[in-house]
Amino acid sequence: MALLFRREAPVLHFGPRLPKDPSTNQRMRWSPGKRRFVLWPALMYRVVAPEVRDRELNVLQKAVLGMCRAGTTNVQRIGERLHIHADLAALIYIELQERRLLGSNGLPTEKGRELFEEETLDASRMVTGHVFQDPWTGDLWPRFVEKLDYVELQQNPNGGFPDLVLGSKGKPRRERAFMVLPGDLALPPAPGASEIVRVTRRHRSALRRSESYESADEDDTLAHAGSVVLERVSLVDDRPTPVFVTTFIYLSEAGDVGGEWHACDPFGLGVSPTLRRALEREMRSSSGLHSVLESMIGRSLDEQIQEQQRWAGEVRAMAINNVEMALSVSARDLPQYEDLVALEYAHVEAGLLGESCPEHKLRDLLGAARRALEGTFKAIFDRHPPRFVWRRVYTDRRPVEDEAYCQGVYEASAKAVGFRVPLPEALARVKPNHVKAACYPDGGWRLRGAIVAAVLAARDDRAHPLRRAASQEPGLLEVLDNVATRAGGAVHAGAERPSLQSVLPVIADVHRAVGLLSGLGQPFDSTRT
Amino acid sequence: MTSAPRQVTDINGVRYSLLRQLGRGGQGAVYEVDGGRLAAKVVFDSSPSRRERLRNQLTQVKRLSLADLEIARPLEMLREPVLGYVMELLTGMQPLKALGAVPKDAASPAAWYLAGGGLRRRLQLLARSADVLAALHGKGLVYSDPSPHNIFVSESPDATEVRFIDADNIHYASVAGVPAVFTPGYGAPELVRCASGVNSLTDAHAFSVLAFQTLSLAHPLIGDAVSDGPPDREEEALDGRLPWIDHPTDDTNRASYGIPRPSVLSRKLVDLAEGAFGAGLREATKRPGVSEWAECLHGAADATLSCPSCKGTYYFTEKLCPWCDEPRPAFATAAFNLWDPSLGPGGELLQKPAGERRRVVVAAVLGLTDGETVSVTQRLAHGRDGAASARPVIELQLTGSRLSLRSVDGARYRLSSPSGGRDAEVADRVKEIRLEPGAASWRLHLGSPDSLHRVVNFELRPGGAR
Repeated sequence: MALLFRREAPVLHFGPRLPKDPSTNQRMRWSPGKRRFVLWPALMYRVVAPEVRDRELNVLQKAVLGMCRAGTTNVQRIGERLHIHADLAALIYIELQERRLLGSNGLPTEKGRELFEEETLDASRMVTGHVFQDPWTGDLWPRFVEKLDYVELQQNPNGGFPDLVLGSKGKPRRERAFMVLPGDLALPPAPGASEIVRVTRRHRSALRRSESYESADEDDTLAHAGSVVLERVSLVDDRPTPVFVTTFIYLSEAGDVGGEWHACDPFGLGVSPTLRRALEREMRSSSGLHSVLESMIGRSLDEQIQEQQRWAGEVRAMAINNVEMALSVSARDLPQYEDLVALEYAHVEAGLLGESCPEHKLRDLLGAARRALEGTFKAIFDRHPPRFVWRRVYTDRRPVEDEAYCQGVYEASAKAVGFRVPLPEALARVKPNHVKAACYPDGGWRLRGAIVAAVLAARDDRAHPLRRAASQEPGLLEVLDNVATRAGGAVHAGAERPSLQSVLPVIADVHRAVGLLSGLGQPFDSTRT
Repeated sequence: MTSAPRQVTDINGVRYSLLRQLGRGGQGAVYEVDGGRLAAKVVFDSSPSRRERLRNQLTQVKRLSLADLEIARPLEMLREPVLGYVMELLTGMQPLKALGAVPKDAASPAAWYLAGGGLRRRLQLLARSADVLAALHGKGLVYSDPSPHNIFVSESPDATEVRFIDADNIHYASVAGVPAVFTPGYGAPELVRCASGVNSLTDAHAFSVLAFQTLSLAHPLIGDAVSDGPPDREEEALDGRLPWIDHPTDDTNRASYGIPRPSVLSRKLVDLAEGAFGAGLREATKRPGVSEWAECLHGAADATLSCPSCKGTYYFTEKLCPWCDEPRPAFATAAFNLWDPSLGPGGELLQKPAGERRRVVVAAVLGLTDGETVSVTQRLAHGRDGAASARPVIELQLTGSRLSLRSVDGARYRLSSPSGGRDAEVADRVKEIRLEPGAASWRLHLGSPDSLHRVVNFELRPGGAR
């Protein structure tokens, strides 16, 4: 059987590059001399699919523009209809006018109408482009490319893989590249229409973020293809064209703990953990690829792994020590012990990296903080099940829709338990169904729902840990709410970039809250609350 | 049609969106194509017959095998009603004219000359341009209109790429009487007089002028008598009726401007200029061809050193840097000789008669400045020409009396000791040898030991004195 990929296959170059650092808006850099180009194989299909373009309106802008298009141009009424504050509606209205999408009469301009139709009606223009399939797994890259960019190659006079000729015409530069040649592979099945639509959507969402295409978003979770008529999506060619796409692996200039290496998305959208995993997989069978990486790292991978393991062991020992210093050695008996150690591990690691701690690690740290609290409430529920406390905000199996009533129920319970009221707004507005979900072990509960359920349960349970905690710290619920806010924001794309200095107080609050709730910690410093 | 379309289509139906205009001339304009890699030349000519002739000419040029030449050739023809073609976009390049005349706002002409890469870079750019013309002539073609406007060079002063634009100028040799296109100041006298069509010698004249001008910043035919004289004096000068500015005996057209020639023209380049603008001015067959220019320009570029003080480059035959008067530092030369193993042990170094004696054949000499990395290219190592000639083979770096060698093309090269008794190897790791003044060095072999190949003999040379 003939090999799918040969050295003569075309090489496409879509400009792989490092992501931007959100704090400086400057592109990140690789460590000098620590970059190696790789030619990665892909099966290219020419397809007819919806055009990929970046969205120009956010969801609220779209909604306000839609209201105006329907003739509702009064910001007060728009606010009422959209359940947003009138001031916010006015702000969006002005934004749309400044962008000349709304005219002075409040109706959409021609540009506004066109944009609304493009973005909202999703009458996607169908264009001819290319999708790329992984030859090993048959998965499609979440990319859709209309125009192909071939890279200039220079054959190596002494054999070997061709060199890439990059740079400008006036100052070209040759880059050595390692060509990953798959062995004898069977041709994977051709992609289906829904798969093609999905990758175009994921490409669009990646463009929006321009960081990593692997974060899940609403587009990924759509079970259907939206308004795209799947019959219109088709393969132009029956058989794929084997191609190579250029990418590179690198060590970050900012540095990573343990000399972590990264792989770039071949399509120019930042870092690609998927490609890195695929490279790791191929390295097991390709000594050439293995030595390319080792030459970049400057030592063997085994040494690196050992060093990482040693590092991980030392950080974990420090984390355990810190947890036990704060909560005594009895912390080992807590069901949420591993969650606490995980939080402390991320905390120690961030502390060691200092100001150079990458953003994703800070977000992970906030996520670990939330998980530690969730673990703590889960442990409380194991010993003090909330049972049917949710019924206090339900009538006839339906949740009470009156927010003021629910807020009254929550605050009365909190006050009875000993907490300070009024409750923080987000806590007071917890929906009854979230409280109900928290009352069941597999209810898919959220932290705020769990807090409220615990408060409701503590009202009738004299031995409930929340009662003891409230007696020591009446403002505890405000602290917990703040942690939920900060940690919740951290996991959402587009949220404000956390800094180490802004994260550390949140972690301190979690430590103290866990201490109070588990009965192993000290009361809060009054100046903190 | 005189206004630019926003979108053009090639004959295969591929559409190109045109962005900004990059340049405009008498015939048409060049636009950047959306995507950043291509440009489109659109010709504005309303005469149907001329349009037809140009279309045929472009179609013919597109069929020529020019892929290995540094010419921005037509990649695809545009579809009617537009006349033109799509070509590569010359990113990071500028016309050679940017290096040929001191801008009015330049504070110091010498500083401006050095900022553009100085003498060595000018020599290298001109040598590569001459290579392109020579290769074109080797295919029986002529470029017709070499000028500083039509040759693009790297913008970056540390790069030496060249591209000829306006590929529609390329012709087979034409006969007298057919209207010829040339840039005023660069047309051969016989073209100006309409006594000849374009041919390789008219190209050679144009190239000689632009080489002389780029190096010395003076036009070889426009002396003070012309620039200060009546307008018809220029016509006389350009059609060859006046002596050139450096004529050895006739000083009627001397130029008081430009850089002193000994600082920028090697002895061989002076000889070529004398041939081109002396005897060759009115007698085209006595004119040196572009391949001679190519060889001498490469040789001159190789024979330059960098001044440690002003970073300017100059010939290693100078005792002082002509740009700052700093004494020349100690340096080394790498002489490329020929090694013929069939001549028997001890006599492999090829020699040629020189009067009553015999002298070792020297194919090239490369100057090595202390602290500077220099590449031995395919041209020096194997005598190659064409696009591959600039590809580096070995990197050399002189540090005091130590010379580092490193293979950069993946091949291994043999080093033999001065006595020939010991061998070593140059591979991709740095190998160091020590040079001693007046003593034979290790010899670098650039080919298979059992066939004729080039060898390099290194020599440490003393610095100059003020």
